[in-house]
Amino acid sequence: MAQYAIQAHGLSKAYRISPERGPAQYRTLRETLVEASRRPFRRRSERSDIFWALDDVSFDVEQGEAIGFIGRNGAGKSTLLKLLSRITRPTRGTADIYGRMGSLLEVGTGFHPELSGRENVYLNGAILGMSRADIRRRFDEIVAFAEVERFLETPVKRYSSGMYMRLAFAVAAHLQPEILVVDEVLAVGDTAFQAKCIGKMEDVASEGRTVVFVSHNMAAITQLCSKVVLLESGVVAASGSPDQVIARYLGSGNQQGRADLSRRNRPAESGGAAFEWAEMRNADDEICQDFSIGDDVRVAFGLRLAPTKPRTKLVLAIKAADGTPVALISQDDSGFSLGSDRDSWNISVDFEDIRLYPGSYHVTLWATDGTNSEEFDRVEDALVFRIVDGGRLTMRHLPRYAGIIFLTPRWRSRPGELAIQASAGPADKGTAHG
Amino acid sequence: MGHDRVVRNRPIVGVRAQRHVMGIRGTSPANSGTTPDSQLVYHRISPPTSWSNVSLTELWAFRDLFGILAQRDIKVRYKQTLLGIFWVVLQPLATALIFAAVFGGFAKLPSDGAPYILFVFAAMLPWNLLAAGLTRAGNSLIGDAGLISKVYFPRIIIPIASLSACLLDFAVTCGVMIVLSALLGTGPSLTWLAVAPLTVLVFVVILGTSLFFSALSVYYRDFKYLLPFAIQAWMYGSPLVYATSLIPPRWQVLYHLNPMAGIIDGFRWALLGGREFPATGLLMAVPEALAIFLVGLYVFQRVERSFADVI
Repeated sequence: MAQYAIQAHGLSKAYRISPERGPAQYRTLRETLVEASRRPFRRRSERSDIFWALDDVSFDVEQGEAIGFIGRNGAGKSTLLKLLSRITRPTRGTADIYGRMGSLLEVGTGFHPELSGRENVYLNGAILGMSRADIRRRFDEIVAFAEVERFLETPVKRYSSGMYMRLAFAVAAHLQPEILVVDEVLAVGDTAFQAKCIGKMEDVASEGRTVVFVSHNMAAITQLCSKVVLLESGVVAASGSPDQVIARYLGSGNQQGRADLSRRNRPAESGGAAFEWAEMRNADDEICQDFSIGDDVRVAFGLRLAPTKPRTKLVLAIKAADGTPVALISQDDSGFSLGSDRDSWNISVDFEDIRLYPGSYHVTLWATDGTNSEEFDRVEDALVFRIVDGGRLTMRHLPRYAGIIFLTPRWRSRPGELAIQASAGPADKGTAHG
Repeated sequence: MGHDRVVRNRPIVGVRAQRHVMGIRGTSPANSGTTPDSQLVYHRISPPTSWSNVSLTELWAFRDLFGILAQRDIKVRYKQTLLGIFWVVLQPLATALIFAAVFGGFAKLPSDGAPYILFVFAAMLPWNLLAAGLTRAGNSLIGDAGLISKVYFPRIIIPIASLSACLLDFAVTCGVMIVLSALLGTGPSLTWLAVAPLTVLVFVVILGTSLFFSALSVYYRDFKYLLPFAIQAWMYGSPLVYATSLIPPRWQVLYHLNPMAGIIDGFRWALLGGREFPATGLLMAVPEALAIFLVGLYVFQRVERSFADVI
């Protein structure tokens, strides 16, 4: 018999966007007065566009279940978390929550730089919903987890960023709600720290607590969640087992190896440049999504610059299906730069002899200003391509995800004696699965 | 926790048994299980209604946060200063000396018999609490924008906590008043006990104005800039550097629409001795303070629900 921790029914959230200004910006009194005097008989809601960040989202979460929410930027994941953790309220719909909920939308919320580590543990714990007694009881545990015993009386502004993150996560990890809501806090910190975080969250989940998790990190989602919901433009596009939903997510939007990017949601752009479309082509210049190891691959995309034609720098990132970074490809490394005489460009990036293991990969496109300080545009997972088994280079069946880079080093052997030489060079390392 | 009937299925990557497909409520197979465990806290998230009640039980549940936030404000205030808490003594004392020199010495404003510095210091007890409390609490929500957009707790805790942090300064200033009075005036008397209810009254006034300003400044930062001017204007509209008796009789009722007039007179009556009890002023101040508080609370709860979307 199952008991529910969360039952969401038709959750919707609308934001007003005034056309001339971005959403959620505060206004000055003068602007409101001027607007009101200009159009005295129009109602507020008619004046501006309504944007539905979430539209009729329903789902159930059982007690003790770990559920993951995935989706592109702007799909409504964060809005959903904000609704569930009561930071903001829905425009329509309800959600019934059974159990004490603790939400962790950011590591170190409310940390005050001037206060000592000890004081911040109490402050942060109280902000996350712990009582003073709770914190006192777990204080030693928290400090041990964070490994900051010696610096407890030091103001956290003197902490290294690593210590700061460890302490902040330690407090959150020892929050013991029945339902834990976690946003992509794991995106920060180094790999070891992320592994520690995931491990702690698995502990939480295995203790029978309910976990609601939002991430772009497919590996973390796969590891932690038993159920996944895919959000697209504010609606539930798919839900079910992680494998199926993640596959659907990675494959969505560009089944044919070409994607129209102009209408895809993404974080607020600064307007310097925007990607319009992207496609992948094979050696025969056909649009294609499946490639073999050793193929030539062309990534092409359309870029529109603002009329001012700002200096623009382009970067591609390739990630494996589980989110593992494979390569960050910058125009600088190839000595390429974009001319400044046009405002619309078709750009192609040719990979010769691609050496990736079979599996799905996704490509993120970035446009920044020349100094990397301002992001003009970023399209996560703009393209997805597959490397399939077979092709001119593969001599055997290659297991999926046995690795990332396919290497074919030169192997040699020469007659040897049985004597063991301690000072011999490193043993031959070739393909591990030979 | 009492729901051990739910056996967690920790699947191994790749061989995952799908437990039940999520979907629209009602299609899930486990309808029998929808009744909540009686031990669990139940909460319903729903669209805001016109009066989202400020729930006292919820405030009580967050009492520790309230204390810790107030503590934070106090601790942070004088970090990395040499004189630390002495600033609390120095600031009002220096201000009182300046006022005594300018208004008492040069301008020769009447002080109804008491030494001018005592006269002005007694008034500065409630006034400084108001000015400091309103300044801090009025800007508190903007200052804690990071909290508001990332964690849930009753928002009203933020202005009340930062306002409460100012009570420490108030207590220290009261100590200074005792010393000054022993040196220059009559010394402590029984009427000093009246400071306690008078402080509650001024607290109610500050609470109302703080809720009003802090809530509106989330929407319109104009209020942040308006606030210092408002406080200054209010100061000159209150009997801080002059005596209420300076106001012509026909303006007295109008003048006392400002609850601080009665309150300051109350403080002077309690602390300086030898004056008439300001019955009319206080009689007006009580309902005025309550009205201010209710207006502030109303405005606050009306706009509170969308703080996170706007801030």
